[in-house]
Amino acid sequence: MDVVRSSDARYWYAYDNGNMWQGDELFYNWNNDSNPANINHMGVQTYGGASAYNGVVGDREDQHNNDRRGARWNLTDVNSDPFSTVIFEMRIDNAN
Amino acid sequence: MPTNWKQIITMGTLTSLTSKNKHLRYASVALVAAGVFVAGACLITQRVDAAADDREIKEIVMIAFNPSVSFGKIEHISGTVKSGPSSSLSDKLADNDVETARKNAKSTLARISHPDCVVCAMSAQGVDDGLTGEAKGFFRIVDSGTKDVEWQQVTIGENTAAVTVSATSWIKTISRDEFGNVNESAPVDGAVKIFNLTKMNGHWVITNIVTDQIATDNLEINKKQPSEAQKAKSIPNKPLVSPQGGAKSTN
Repeated sequence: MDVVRSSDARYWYAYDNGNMWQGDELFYNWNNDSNPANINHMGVQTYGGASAYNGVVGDREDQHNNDRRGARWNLTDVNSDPFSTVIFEMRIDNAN
Repeated sequence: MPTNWKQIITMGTLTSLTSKNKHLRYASVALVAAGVFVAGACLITQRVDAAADDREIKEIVMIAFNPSVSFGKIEHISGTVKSGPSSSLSDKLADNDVETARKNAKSTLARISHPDCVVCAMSAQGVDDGLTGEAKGFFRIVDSGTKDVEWQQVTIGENTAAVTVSATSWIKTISRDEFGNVNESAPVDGAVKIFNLTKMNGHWVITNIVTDQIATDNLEINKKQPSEAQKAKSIPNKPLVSPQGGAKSTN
């Protein structure tokens, strides 16, 4: 599991990296807590395309929150507090 | 007029007693007035103290409510970098501005946080990380603010306090992606947070912060979805093509 913070360039990238694929899991903590036990939100990379919020093209994620649907994977188009947000990227290998 | 010595003595005693009663009455009135004055002064002092506590607590809570809003705008410090929407990531932040921003954030967070507050320490780390990201040129918060503040519950005791507040935060950011494009974002969202505070050395400090996630999700501002026009602009399930021509499949 890869941890991404706002001090990391990837946090602000549209694609993150070439390894993010449809179905990848994204876990979020709103309190800058990098302890996986304290993850409090989850999203799934559902497709690539332009953000419904700011038009930036990249990996998009969906999650249960209304205002987090069709947002960029890093939520930079919808989240007003990036300083307090830690993102955990995870991919379940289909060989499992 | 007294007619004999007995009467004279009796009248003298009565006169003396009446005079004493008057003095006693005056003294009593003075005592009651002093009591009322002291009680009133105490009441006023208590009200002033309560008002001062209320003001201090709300100020602290709003600083801690959204650290990105409170500490993200580095460029406003010296004015050497353009602020507002015209800001560009190519405007390099002065090193001393970044250091000043770090010091300000660190001292402010230390002033409003209890040393044992774990969430506060994580928040301070997040601020430091965020400022590092801005200094490296990954992104810049060019404007920010808080609105629609609603103090849902403010309970202030002698040495502890609990506050539930909802508010809407907004920031305007510019960021550079891996293709060198500069993207603008203006996220707006709301949150309901519960703060616990304690009095330490005569000042209020935060001991814990919890986000009420259910209440947060139910805020009207958080139920807003992209408009149909915005949705139409998004092109799902198409291969991603970078401006440089590199392609990435989504599946």
